[in-house]
Amino acid sequence: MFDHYLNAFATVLLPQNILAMGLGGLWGLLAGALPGISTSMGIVLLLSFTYTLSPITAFCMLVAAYCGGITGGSITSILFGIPGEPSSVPTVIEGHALAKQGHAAYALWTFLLCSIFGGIFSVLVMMAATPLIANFALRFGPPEFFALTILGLSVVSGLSGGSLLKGFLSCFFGLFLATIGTDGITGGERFTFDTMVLLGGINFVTAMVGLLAVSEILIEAEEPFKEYKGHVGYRGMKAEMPKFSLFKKNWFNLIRSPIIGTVVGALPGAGATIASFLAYGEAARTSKEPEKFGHGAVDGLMAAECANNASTGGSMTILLSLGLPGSNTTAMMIAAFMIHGMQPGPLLLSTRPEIVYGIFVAMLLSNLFLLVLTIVGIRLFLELNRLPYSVFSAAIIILCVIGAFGLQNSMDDLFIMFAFGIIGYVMRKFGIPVAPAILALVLGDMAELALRRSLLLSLGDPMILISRPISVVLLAGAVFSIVYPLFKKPKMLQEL
Amino acid sequence: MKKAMFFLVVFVVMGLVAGVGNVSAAPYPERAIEIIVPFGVGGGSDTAARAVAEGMKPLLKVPLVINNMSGGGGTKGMLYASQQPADGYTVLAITTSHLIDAVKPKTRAQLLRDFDPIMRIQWDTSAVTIAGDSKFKTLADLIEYGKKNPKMLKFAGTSPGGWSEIQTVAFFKGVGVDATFVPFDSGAEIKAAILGGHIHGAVEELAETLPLIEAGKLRSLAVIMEKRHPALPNVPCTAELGFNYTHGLMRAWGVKKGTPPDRIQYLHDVIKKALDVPIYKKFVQDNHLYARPGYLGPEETRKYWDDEVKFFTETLKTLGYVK
Repeated sequence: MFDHYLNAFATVLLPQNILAMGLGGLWGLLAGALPGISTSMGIVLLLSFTYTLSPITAFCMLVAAYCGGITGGSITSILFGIPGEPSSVPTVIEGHALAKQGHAAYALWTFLLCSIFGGIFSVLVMMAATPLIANFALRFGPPEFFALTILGLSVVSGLSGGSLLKGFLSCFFGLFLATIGTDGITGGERFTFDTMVLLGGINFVTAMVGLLAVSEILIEAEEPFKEYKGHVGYRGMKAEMPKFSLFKKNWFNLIRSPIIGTVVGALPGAGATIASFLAYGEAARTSKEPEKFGHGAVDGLMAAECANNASTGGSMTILLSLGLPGSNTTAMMIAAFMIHGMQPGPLLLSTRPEIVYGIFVAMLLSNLFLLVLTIVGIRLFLELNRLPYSVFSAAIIILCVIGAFGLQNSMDDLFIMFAFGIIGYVMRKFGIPVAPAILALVLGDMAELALRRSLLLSLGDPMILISRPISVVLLAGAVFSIVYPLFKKPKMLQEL
Repeated sequence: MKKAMFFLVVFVVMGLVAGVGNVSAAPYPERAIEIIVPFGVGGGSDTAARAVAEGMKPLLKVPLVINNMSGGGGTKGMLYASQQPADGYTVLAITTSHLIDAVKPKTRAQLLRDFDPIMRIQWDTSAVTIAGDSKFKTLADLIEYGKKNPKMLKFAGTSPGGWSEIQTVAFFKGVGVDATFVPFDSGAEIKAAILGGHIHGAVEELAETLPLIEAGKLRSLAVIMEKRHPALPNVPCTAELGFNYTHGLMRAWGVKKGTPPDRIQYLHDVIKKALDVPIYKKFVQDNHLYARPGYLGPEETRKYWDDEVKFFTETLKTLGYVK
């Protein structure tokens, strides 16, 4: 095995492969940072360039683009408040709040260091324990998925800011939204009013962009010709470099979050979104300053970013060991394997070890490359912060429109985005947090399907949910994180 | 100056007249042909359509544009294609799911009514697949267990009320077993659920599961076909086990009804040639589509569609999706 790694390093460090990683990483960063081009679309566009490359060079490029896409999405989230993927929602909430307080550079530094750390952590875990993670991931059947999504939903209490009541109000609104569209178990239509528009359900990217980004601009637009808040105490990268003590203080967070990311990333159908929300929720629950969450809590940002990037390793683990794509993006990787005459699956490690170990090493090195690329690139992005808000917000709206339209080239998505912008505006006016609604929209669908699948498996017996060890532990965790804040802060209990 | 202007006008008018003359006698195709893939980028329908299109590009003088229009399980793209003029410039990539929609009463575009087939391109093979360490050794074991324990046999699939459920339920109904169908969101989730022992198995397209079968993690009990599949020569086919059930997923291309026959013929000839191009042959090889001929001419395709729709009507009735 040691030989394999030595060979892999020697191959990956060839000049053409380093160039491929640099280009792939840059492309991934761009695709991730630009709304309207998702990471998976970025990979698809890149695929056609890899036909003529040697397999290992092609994978160096694709793997770097994959890691870059996940990283790039967070830049847009922090600076513009536009989440590119549902997994970036916690980053928008905390990172963008920091940026608005004038600490954009601080937020970017923290995100960058944590996401690279999370990425490298998960690659190392993946190198050491691919079969272990794969076997553990397979133990997650529908009941375990249900418990996992409920645990994810229990984060609501952490996201609610001051008022649990308003947090749950928002959460139930999101759960309702999740029921719209085609029923995943019977195929029947729900709340579609016989239109085509709602047949596929509410697309959470459009809803997310509307609720988070558009509504914020509407709020800001109430104060005309205001300068962007970022210029208040706007400081450069050097001045905002986080101190080592920050990481020392958060050491447990920094270990817990990548583990959550790696394991949950390996579950097909769960992936980065649940991972980042779970890690974020755990951080909120254990934080010494929980009142800061929603208003720029740096530990929340750290947790979400670590987990988000760590999910890449988990997702690649299950792809390389079993040939199962854990996310849309890794599904595109399967196409890449086929182009180069390989079939990802359990046999790949024995038939083409040089490719598998090469991919491990390429993932490790791309994370390091991305650190350099992003530090250089961030300075350019940061300059945008100096723009007056009237100009800046117009640019954000344009990016939102491109992002929503680009999903499926459909005007319907655009209307839905603006509708959610107005809904988000009203919610904010009443002090109702929007994050729980997004969380519930994303997880509600998964939770419902997992619950109904479980009941199909048990022929209607609900005991299946609490008769399996993993799901019991997860459900107990969920109950604990909902009930615990009530006793910690009796004021919240009175309110309920 | 005036003189120059006059000549300019004369030239422009002459050009226009010549242009108009050209249009009426213009050979088809004279502009880009749009292929509507009613599913997302990177999916099975998309990669199949792109493989065919790659083969067609060198044979055509006009560009070929693939437009992914996903939504409503393939109905959105079909609706769009049915609203375009019947001039052969909009081609719809059709799958079995459109045939199933044709049975349901609530469709605004209906395949048999609104479209003419160009040809059937692919005819995939499904297999009854279970975990490698499953206690069932043969299809007979599975059926025996299923008959003794109604509803206890749990099989996964992807689309409730769609092809995946129909092929699972129709197969088990054919062998006299009352099985429970559990729908999942993607093939990856199904395979993970089988490997993890959460579900007994799935009736799925063979190419999806082949790498895991070759590794021994999954096992096929039977391929649903009239003969054995070359990729799995040791696995019996349904025909030899005595089951008269050989349906498979099909992909075809079609145009809006009323398109001039010579244009359909032209497209048919180009696509047929494209199926012999190496890049498409590699696609067939990679996806194990070589087991039985996919190609059917326009008339045979129409008959095949009619027969399948009849079969789906029956199955959906027993499932209670239509009355």
